[in-house]
Amino acid sequence: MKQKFIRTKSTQKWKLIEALGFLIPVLIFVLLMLYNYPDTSEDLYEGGGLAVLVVFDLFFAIVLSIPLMLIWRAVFRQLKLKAIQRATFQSVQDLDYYREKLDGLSPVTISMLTDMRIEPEKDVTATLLHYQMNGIISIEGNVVKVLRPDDPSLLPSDKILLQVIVSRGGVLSGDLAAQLTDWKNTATRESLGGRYFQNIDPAVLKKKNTSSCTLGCVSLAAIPILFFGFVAFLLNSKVMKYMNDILDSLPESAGNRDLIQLIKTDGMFAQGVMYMLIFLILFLVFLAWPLIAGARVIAGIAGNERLTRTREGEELTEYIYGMKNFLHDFSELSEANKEQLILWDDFLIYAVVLEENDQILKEIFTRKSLNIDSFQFMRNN
Amino acid sequence: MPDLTIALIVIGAIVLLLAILLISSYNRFVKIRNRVKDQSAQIDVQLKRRFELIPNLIETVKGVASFERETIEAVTKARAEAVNCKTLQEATNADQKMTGALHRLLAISESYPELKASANFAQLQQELSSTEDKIAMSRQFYNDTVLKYNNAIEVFPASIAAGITGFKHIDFLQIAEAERESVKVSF
Repeated sequence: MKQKFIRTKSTQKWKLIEALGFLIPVLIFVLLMLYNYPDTSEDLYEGGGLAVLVVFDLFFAIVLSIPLMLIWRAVFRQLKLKAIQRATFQSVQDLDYYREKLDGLSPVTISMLTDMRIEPEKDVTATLLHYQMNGIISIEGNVVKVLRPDDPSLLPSDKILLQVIVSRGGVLSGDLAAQLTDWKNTATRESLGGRYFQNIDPAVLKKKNTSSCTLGCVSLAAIPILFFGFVAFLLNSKVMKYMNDILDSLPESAGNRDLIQLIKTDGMFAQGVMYMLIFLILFLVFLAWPLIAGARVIAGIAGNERLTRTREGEELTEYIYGMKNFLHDFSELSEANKEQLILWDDFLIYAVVLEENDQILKEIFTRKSLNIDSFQFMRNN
Repeated sequence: MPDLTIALIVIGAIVLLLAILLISSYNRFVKIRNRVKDQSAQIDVQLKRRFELIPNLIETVKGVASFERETIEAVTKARAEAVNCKTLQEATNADQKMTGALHRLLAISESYPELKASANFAQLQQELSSTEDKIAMSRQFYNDTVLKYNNAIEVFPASIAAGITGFKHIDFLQIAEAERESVKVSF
């Protein structure tokens, strides 16, 4: 059985954030250029001008950004891997497309099976479409009207959601954080109470956490070893002794121009300067090492999931994976609006819950922005 | 000479880039066109499924309402026409005629209590209804896939690559309303 994973907005988000770490040297370079440019010293940059300034600032930008990038990567790579792990499943039938309806699965269950998370805005939207299809509510414009609040098919989480809608006069706007949290927790419990999820064996979870901690520490133990090893090398190096002798022999009036001239003409001196720069990089990384190790371990342990899918859950997740691919490749449901529910039936609901259609979310939720992964909805103006 | 070399390198790089773009566009068009074919095949699968259900339905109805010969023969004839179609549009048109004939047959069958009570008939009705839904959905997905394909080959500058590589516009599936005649109920 091979593993596959479902591409979700969450996994894409963490990938993007991790990749943004490569902008750190660019940012530092720009800041250094802005800082240095007005104060260009004729003595240092004579004969080299802007090119010398750029090279120096570029170099220092890279040096200074290395520890920051390591910390950034330590944290966000772990979060990215955890998001991918949640959306990863065992493929039994190795199918790429699934065209049949996912009968018996509510939008919330589909969302949980996809990545073991409920995302309020899209899952509520998909649930509302599901209610509309079954005649429990009607949606006109962005106003939701509850028609059958006591329908026997409704679960406790459905009733909570319908009460939220009624209390808001049918318009989903304003600060819904607390009310949707209640709905989310209840819906999560209902999904977990079924046959698609099970708790990970505590012994296995402990082993995962230990492994995360050990791996983080072992991989980063290389940094102090490298640093002290290099320091030992420098202390015994002939190049460094030569460089010290040269510097001691220079007159007090010697300036930057003389140093640059030495670097250009004396190969051994230049080598010594390079060793010093390497030492500087390793020193900065060594200083940041406790932060890097701590960040990696915490991000690794905090993201370890306590749940896993059952065999039946894995099979259904594969169908969901196939359905998402099918909707992505064989339909234009990303452009559909909620009035087309009668035309597309369950497939429109799947498109919303599987993040293939964002348009309907915007039609139903009137707020301007949503803080992803939290419930801090901003108030409408 | 160095200028000539640089010019040749630049031209070579541009030609290489264009070739890469052309190849990647071609591959993309092939993928989307194959999806159109795949979805067309899915419609065929559902249509065949419905064709297989019809003989069983006709035998069930004949056993009880044999004198509704005209209606039964209309269904049989429509089915025979639909099975022999060559293109998807022909099959769709023929299928719409058959749908009309089937609906008339099922409407007439409502007048026969024996049929309504028959478990076999009820199951056939349900399967036919389910298959009709699947056919309708398959057609919608087909048209969406055709839209994706047509958009891919017609937007600029991909249209240039499509023109060079011979990819042509595909027509959408036109679905006419099923023919319905007024049903005569006799007692």
